[in-house]
Amino acid sequence: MVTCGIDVGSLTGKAVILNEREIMAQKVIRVKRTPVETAEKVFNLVLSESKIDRDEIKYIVSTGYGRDNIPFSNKSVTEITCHGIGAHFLLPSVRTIIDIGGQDCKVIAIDRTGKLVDFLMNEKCSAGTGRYLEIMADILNLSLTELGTLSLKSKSPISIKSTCSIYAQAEVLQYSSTGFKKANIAAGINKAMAERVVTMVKRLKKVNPDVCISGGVAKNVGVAQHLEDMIVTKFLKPSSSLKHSPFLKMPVDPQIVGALGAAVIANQRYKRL
Amino acid sequence: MSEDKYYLGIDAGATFCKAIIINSDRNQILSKALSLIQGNPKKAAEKCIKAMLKEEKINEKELKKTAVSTGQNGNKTAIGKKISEITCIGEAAYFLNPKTRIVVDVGSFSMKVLKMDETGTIKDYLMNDKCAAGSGVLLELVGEGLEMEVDEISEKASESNNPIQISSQCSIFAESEVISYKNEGANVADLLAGVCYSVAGRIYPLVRKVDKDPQNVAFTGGVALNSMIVKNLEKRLNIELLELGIEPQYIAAYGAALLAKSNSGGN
Repeated sequence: MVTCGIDVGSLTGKAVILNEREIMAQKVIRVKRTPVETAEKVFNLVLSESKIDRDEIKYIVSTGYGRDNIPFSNKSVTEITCHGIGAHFLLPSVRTIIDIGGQDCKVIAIDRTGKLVDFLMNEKCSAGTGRYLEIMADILNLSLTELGTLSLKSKSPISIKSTCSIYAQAEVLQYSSTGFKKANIAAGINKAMAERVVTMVKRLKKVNPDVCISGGVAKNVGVAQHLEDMIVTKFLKPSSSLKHSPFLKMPVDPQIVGALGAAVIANQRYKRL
Repeated sequence: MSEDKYYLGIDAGATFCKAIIINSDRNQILSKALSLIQGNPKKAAEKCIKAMLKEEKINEKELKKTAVSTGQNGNKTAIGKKISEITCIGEAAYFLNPKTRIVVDVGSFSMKVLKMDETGTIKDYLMNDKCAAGSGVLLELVGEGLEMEVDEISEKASESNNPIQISSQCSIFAESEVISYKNEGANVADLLAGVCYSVAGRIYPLVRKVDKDPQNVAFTGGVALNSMIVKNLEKRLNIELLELGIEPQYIAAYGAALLAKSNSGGN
């Protein structure tokens, strides 16, 4: 049975077509003028990529900040739930998901069935969200991926003192105009970003292994590396008796986890009809 | 009659450097200048001084000896003594209008509220320098996003009959919110009015934190140039703001010049 999940975020729209356990197609696009336009566009793209007929799709679940009012969606589900289900589908041992999107950051705790146990969310402050990295990458004239790879070359990252994105931007501008190496600036940015996220993780009652990162920011290897180091040393080391690393890599594009979760929920829903 | 002496005050803020030269005789502003910081406060300060001295026959060396620098980048000007902004703003506001008890200063990056007693002594102050919400940066971002000058915002906003409420706190998210409303076809005047109200709405709680029943309040800093924000703040506080008779963005520089004078023995 074929289902579809559509995740309309603040900066990107994602869609996944799922046939039971097989991902048949996936797509990520930049948002259009309105959430509805974004959903339609990404849906059409993922349809043509999968070469599946519109009628074959039995159920569509939409999620993300623009999830409501999508005319062709059968149901809308919050992105917290979808990320939990999507991550569980891919990595059944995962208990903590850190999802960093374009304009928010979520920490989600799930149980062994993928059900939500606890979550925290920051959507009020741009520090610690994808926007922070976008602003900084712009100053350095780098793509988000480059911001990650370049930072790995740094031996002495700059230190960013401000929390606020606006103040941090001024700091980075100053570093950049006074001749600091791009790699060191990039590493400092990624580290500051990871620190913001860890501040939020700290507020979760308990961080259970395994942990994974989803969302667009997971593609920045620098942030992912810093996050892994900080979380493993701060929250997992003493109690962890695991033989494997408690930090798991997403086996698919980490940006589609929410859309995938939506497609999984669509499958469950349809079967219950 | 002794010969005139001159004193220099420099306020190197986050975005602009402001400088003032006063005449020792009646503390009158002889000359003032403003220049963009652009990552180099020292250069910006020198640029201001050069512009001010162009038409005045004043000894630059003598002037710098007694000068006072203030502001976020005040210690980077390498000119004169550094004195805190709070002190400078309080000094100037009290001098210009001795009725002043509270000064709200909102610049491009941060806001401060200070409270004085009837002698002009600062009793309490609060600063928001951790988060840019409520500072002038939102006006700059929105100006850029809508491709208009910052000083056009309040005039355009005053045409609004139906301000749109901006719900984001973070200035960066608020700018995105404004742009997406615009893309959905919102009226620009209504949007800008919403932006002005949102800035005033962030300033108001800080004032109330310093004083539960604020009276004799002066509003300074670059953001006070926006008349929509001024009016909305007056409405929220239910008072009329005091007149200081100075361009609001020069208040700290003027205070610095007054302190330069009193530090070197002038009355």
